Amino acid sequence: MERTRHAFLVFLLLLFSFSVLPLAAAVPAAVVDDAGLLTSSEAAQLEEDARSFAEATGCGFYIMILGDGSSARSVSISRAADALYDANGWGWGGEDSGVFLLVSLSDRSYAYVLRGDAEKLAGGRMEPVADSFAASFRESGAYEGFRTWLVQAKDAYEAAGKGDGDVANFVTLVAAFLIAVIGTMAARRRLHSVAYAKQADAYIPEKGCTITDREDRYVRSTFIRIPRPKSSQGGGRYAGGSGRF
Amino acid sequence: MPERVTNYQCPNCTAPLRWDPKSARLVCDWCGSSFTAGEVKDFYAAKDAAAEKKAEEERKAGAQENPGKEDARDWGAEGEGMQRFSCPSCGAEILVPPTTGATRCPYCGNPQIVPGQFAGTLKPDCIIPFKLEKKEAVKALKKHFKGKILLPKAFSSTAHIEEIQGVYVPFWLYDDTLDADCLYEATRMRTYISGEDQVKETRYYAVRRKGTLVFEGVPADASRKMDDAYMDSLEPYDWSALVPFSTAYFPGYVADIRDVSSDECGQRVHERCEASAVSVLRRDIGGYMTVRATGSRADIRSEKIRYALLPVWTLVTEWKGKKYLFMMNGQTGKMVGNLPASTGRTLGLFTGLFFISAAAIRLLLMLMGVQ
Repeated sequence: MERTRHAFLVFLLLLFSFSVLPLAAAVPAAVVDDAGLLTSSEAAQLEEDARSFAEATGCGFYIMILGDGSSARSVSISRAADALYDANGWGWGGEDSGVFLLVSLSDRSYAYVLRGDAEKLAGGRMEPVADSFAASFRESGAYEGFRTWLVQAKDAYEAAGKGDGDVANFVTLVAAFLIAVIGTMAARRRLHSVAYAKQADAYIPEKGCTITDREDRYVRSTFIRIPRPKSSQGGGRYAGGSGRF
Repeated sequence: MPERVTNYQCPNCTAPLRWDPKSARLVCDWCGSSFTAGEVKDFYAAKDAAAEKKAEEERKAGAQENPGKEDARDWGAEGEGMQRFSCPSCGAEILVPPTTGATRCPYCGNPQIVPGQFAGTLKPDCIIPFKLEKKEAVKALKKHFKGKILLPKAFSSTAHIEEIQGVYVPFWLYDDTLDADCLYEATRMRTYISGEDQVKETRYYAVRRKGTLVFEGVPADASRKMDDAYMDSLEPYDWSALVPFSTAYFPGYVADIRDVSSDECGQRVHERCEASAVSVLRRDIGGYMTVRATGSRADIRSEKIRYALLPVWTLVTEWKGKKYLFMMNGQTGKMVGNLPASTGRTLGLFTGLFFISAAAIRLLLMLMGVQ
């Protein structure tokens, strides 16, 4: 059953990719409304916002809306989003960095994918953005929902970068301080050459040590168990999340 | 009591002789003659014997129990606990501490030896003659100042040597045999996957090593006035240069006699030997991630204890009203002595290191893509 569902999904993805790719061959669109949910002006405005955010941050922001006819079940919409990101040739920079939101109207579910530098948003930074999107989508409509998504995703990306910068500064200061302390102490130690001798190894002649007994006995063991990080639905490179609205 | 004192004079011109470390001979700076230690010892054998006989008689008479009190009575409080003798060359009266066995007359400069200090049980078994001269000690001190970036610049340029002296320092040399039984806690670690978990297992082992270790000539200075830390820091000496004791090596140097018993020094030597046993047996343990000593037991037998005089150059410098003591191994040239640190240079080094390393780390992080 699971295998059949996956095969169906792959078929849908390929079909969808072949239908979208020729259109996006020149410059991949950042906002793809396959469901006709947005007006042309709304789609154009979101497209413009997405592009300006991408240029400002160096990370792409993408939205795709699938209509009722293109069903993607919630259990597999994450994998669908992952595959569509590659199929559309999205991403900025050498790492193809980007944040992609896939919305399926048929089952009112969504999934997002984080790629390249945007993977630093994994681990809790995107959940509030997704919650805001879902709430705004429900209460204020599709355009406001997507607009909220774009703005907050961009803000979260910039904040994460700033956070990295803070960590980097802290690490730099601490490491530099330690190096300075160690270096200064080493230089001070060079001024002191008088110390009590603790051992007398230098006075053991060659063959002056005879081992008479050796014993190595196992006593006990201690165990530390660390849960292994789980890869999402088998996709090793996947970073992102999903939900319903 | 001039007969208690021996001074080696040139048999040819009667000028004072001096031990020359380079040629390992006693030389006369006046007529240029030179003699081996054996030649001089033979030449002065009668004089040495008379001096030692006189000292022995005085010791039997009880004067040796507190030699200075009787001898230096006329000098008042200054002479308390000191020895007095007359210089055989110029007749001047000289006061020396009771532990001094050889010195130099402050009036005529002639080297003076008090054989009574090295007679009977006080006679050392062996001696390492000076191999390095005074000028080499001065040179070594200047070298000692180099490469110390925190040393005040003015110290090396303005601190002048106030006093420099070659001293034969009394040492006990211990030949010990040690039966050691050492315990260690060792660990091995492995990581494996078990179900949904990654498991890190640490296996603990009780490791025991027993062994017999032989130590040859572990030194401990037998002079109270010499700082043990300085003496330890001057090690090691090359024991192959030990020769039977003779006062013929003394001219030109000061020599002290022992005032610490071998039993007193023995405890510290045994502790050093036991610490060595723990680390030497530790090297036999392999195949573990960590090894930690948890206990040891050692039975030590002192097979032989020798009393030796070892050559040390002492140098005293003064800087900003404070005296700094340096010592050099008179055989190997190893120089030791603590130096002052410049506060300004210390702050400068710290600041420089901080900023340079901060810049380097930041650059590295940027190259790694962390902004």
